[in-house]
Order: sequence, then C-alpha cells, then structure tokens
Amino acid sequence: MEIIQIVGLGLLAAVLILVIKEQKPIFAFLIAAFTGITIFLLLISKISSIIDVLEELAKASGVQMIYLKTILKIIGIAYIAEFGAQIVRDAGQESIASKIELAGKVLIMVLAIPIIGIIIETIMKLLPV
Amino acid sequence: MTWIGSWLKEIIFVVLLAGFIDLLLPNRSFERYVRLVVSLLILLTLMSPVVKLIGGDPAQKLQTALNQAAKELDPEVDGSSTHQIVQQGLALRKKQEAQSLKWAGQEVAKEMEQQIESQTEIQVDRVEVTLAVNRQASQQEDEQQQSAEKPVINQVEVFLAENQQPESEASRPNEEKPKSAISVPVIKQIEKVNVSVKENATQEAKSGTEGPTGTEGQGLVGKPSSRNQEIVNQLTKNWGISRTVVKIHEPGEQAEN
Repeated sequence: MEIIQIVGLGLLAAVLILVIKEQKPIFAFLIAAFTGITIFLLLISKISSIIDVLEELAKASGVQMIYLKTILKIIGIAYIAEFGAQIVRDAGQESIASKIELAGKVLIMVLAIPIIGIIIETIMKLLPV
Repeated sequence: MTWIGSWLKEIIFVVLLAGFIDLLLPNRSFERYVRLVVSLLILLTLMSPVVKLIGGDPAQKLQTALNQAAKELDPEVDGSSTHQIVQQGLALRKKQEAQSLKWAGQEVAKEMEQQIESQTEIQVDRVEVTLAVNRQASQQEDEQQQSAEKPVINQVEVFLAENQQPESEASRPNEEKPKSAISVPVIKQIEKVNVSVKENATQEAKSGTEGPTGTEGQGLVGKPSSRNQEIVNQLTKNWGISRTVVKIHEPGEQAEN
C-alpha cells in the first residue's frame, strides 16, 4: 500500500508546484525538494531491510563482507549524487547538477582504485621480472 | 576442496549483487562507472585464489586499502594509525627493557663473581644472572604500580672452575645441621643446589623457608656441596635474594647440560 502513498504524495506535490510556480518559483522548488526527501526517507526502512537480508546471506554463506560493503557504497554514492543532481537541475542549475554528477563518478572511481591496485600487484608478482 | 566451494560461493554472490545493483541504478549516466567498478570486483573475486597463493587475503587487503582511501578523504578518522603508533611504541619499550635487563644482569654477574672469588677464595668460571621484571606481583597488588616495576633477580647460575681447594663448612647456618646429619647416611653425593625458580615474591619467600629442609639440607653432604653452600650463603647475604634462585654448576656438569 505504500506505493499508493508515495504516488499520491508525488501527484499532490506536482499539482501544488504547478499552481504555485507562476507566483513563487522559490516555493515550488522547496516543495519539490521536500517531496523528494520525503519519498527517500519513506524508502530508507525498506532499503535497510533489504541490506539486512543481504548481510545475513553473506554471513551465512561465508562470503567476505567487504565485497558487499563495496557494492553498497557504490549504490549509495550513485543514489545520493543522482538525487542531489536532479534537485539542483529542477532549480535550473544545469552546470551545478553536472558537477555533482562528476563528483559522484569520481568517488565511485576512488572505490575502484584499491581493487585495481590489488589486481595489478598480483599480476606483477605473477609475471617474472 | 572447501576452498573451491567458498570461492564459487563468493563468485556467485558477487555476480548476483552486480546484477541486482544494475537494476537499482538511478540512471544511465552512472552506469558505465558502476559497471567498471563492479566488474573489477568480480575480477578480483575470480583471482582471489591466485592472490591468496601469492600472499595475503584479498578481502583483507581490500579492507585496508579502502580504510586508507577513506582516511585520505577525511583525515580526522585515523584511529587505526594512532593505534599502530601506540603498538609500535609498546614494542620498542619492551625491547629496550629487555636490553637494559640483560645489561644489568651482566653487570650484576661480574660483581657477584668478584665477590665470590674474593670472599670465599673459590675459583669461579663465570656467573650468569637472569633478571626479570616482577610483573605478576605488581599486577596482583595494584594496576597503578605497574609503572614502578622493579627488576628482580630471577636466577643466578654459578659455574665453578676446575681444581679448586675444598673449603670448610663453617659458614653454614645452624638450623640446618641436624637435618643434614640425618640424611648423611642415605645420600652420598649431591653435586648441585638446583631448585626450581619462582617468579613471585611471596612464593619465593615461602619456598625459601621450605628449601633448606629438603634439597639444600641434603646437599650439604660431602665437600663440594659445602662449598656450594658457602657460595649460596654468600650470595644470599650480599644480594638479598632467595636461596632458591641460586644454581651452582660443577665444572664437570656442563657437558651434561
């Protein structure tokens, strides 16, 4: 039933924004940002339950937690960067939005650096010098 | 075969997760980057037996590398490095303590050798002194006294030189005489005064009182043991150590040890 709540909230916010946009564009932006954050917060409990299940699975199967952690970090960075970028884009600041996306991409790449390091180290050790 | 099982489990898990987050991704712009990182992760998982073979656990390496990266991003979170520094400092302190104890032991041994030779005229080959910090006793009393730990003499080994003149047993304490007289016919010769070493101060005192009734009383038989007794008396009187820590080796005995 939560999907109905979320869709209703979204529709309501959209109508309100349409009404208010002509007179006060700043409030329209605030409503958009607030609606986005509220939907996000509504989803957090669901996300946490999913992550709990994944962690349980990883523990039960004896898989190293660090893989799960890395992947979860990637998703988190991607989501948060996307969220911020879209709000800023709604406000009409396309350039700032693209900078936020760039930051998200760079941070994801930073996560890749240790992995690349380990792989390259292993390959260097494998090959005779 | 278990490693194959765990390896396969890891691969399946990581690939499943990768597919899962491919669906979860918000839009196309991040997709390439996320795919790169996830594929690297899958590659690492595939290579993990090789990495383990070469040395080191890949997951642990990844953990430390990620911690390092996180530390570079915000330098305030550096609990692990402080911990490391503290541990290194502790290790250095232990090393220093051990060295100073060794040096002090050598000095004490030199001193003891001179004393024995000058006061009892017994030729001594060498003296070895083992010092130890009396950690157990201070822990029992109070934690705060740990800083004021005192080194105690743990063991004194006297190696006698060959062809020395037998000495009279004049310096022996009086209370041990009757017991030694009883044990004279039974035991012909006991060459060394060899009593197990106790670290604790209270135990030392206790075994010090028990010692003479047993081994040392028997050890008085014959001339070499009376000489040993004299050395032990000399050392205990001058250095205030328990009789039990003194160990005297006869010249012929070294081959057995």
